[in-house]
Amino acid sequence: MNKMHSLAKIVLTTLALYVAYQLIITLFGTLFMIESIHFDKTPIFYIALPFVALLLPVVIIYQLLFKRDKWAEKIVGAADRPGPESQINWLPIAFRLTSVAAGLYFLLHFVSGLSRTLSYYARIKASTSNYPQNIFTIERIIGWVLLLPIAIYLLCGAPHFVRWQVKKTLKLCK
Amino acid sequence: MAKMHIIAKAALTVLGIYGIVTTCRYLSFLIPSPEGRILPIIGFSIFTAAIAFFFIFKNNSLTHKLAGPGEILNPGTQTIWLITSLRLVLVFCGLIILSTSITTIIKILLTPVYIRPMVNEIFVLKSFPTSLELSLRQWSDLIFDLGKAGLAIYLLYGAPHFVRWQLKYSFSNNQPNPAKTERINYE
Repeated sequence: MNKMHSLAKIVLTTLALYVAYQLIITLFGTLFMIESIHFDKTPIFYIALPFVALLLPVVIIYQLLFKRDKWAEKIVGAADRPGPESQINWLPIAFRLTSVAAGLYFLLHFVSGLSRTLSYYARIKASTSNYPQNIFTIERIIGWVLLLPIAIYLLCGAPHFVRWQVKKTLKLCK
Repeated sequence: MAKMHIIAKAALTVLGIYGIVTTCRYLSFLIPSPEGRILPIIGFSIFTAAIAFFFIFKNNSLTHKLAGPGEILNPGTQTIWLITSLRLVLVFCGLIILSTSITTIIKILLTPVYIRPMVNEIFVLKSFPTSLELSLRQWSDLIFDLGKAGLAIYLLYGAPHFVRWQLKYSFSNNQPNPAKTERINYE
């Protein structure tokens, strides 16, 4: 294991802790939002969906905390790679690490949005009172749905983006 | 500058940018209805200015305090490290800000769809478009969201002007007080 592996593991653990913190906040928020639901009138599907959505960050936290060696190796590359000798050898790895971290942040946003939207939808379905319907605007829905493919792309290491950024950075260094 | 100084400098700069965005969010809530909120508005404005001043413009002393003494790099290596660290953290900050700006970007892309009825209203009905009759709060939110989306795109592009300026500024101002450096080394 070299320095970059250690750095990757530190970043991944920090991220896992951040995702866990956000998950707890979202869980409380979801509980608070469905508190007023009439359980006799609402299908169980609508009540269960926000909680099912929260399973995804639980899986992520598990992966980041208990399988972090594997993740670090995937991000950094082979374990026997020598330490960064040149001043810029570490750059693609660092950009990839940044992409993975940002991907997790996007995923977290998507999941908390999903959970919030579903619980809100359940409230609207269950309640007879008037809730503002304008939260489901087309821009909001597209913006929220787009978070998932962006998150997946970033979690895959965003190869094109990283290559482009490295190229631009090296150009600026000259 | 040592490697750790450069990393600390990049981290402080990005923290400063993110701090300004966050405090501007609060300001955009407070400013549209300022009655009885003068103190929080002044407080947040001073806080924003202080963040900008100490984290972005005058971060050299804070950097030296945070990172402590270290092996000074030669100017060429310093330049490479400063550019790469700054770009890395700025891109990360851009991605984080982008995650909350996608809706705004989609709205901007959908502008041609909304503009047509507006043009009709102005030129055919000779009246001010109803969709632009926004409250002060809505205008404030709109300006903040547009600014944030623009910042996200600029940061994702790598903020070349800002990086070049920081590079120039850091090299012209990064002459730590010898007495202070000596004291830190001694401690």
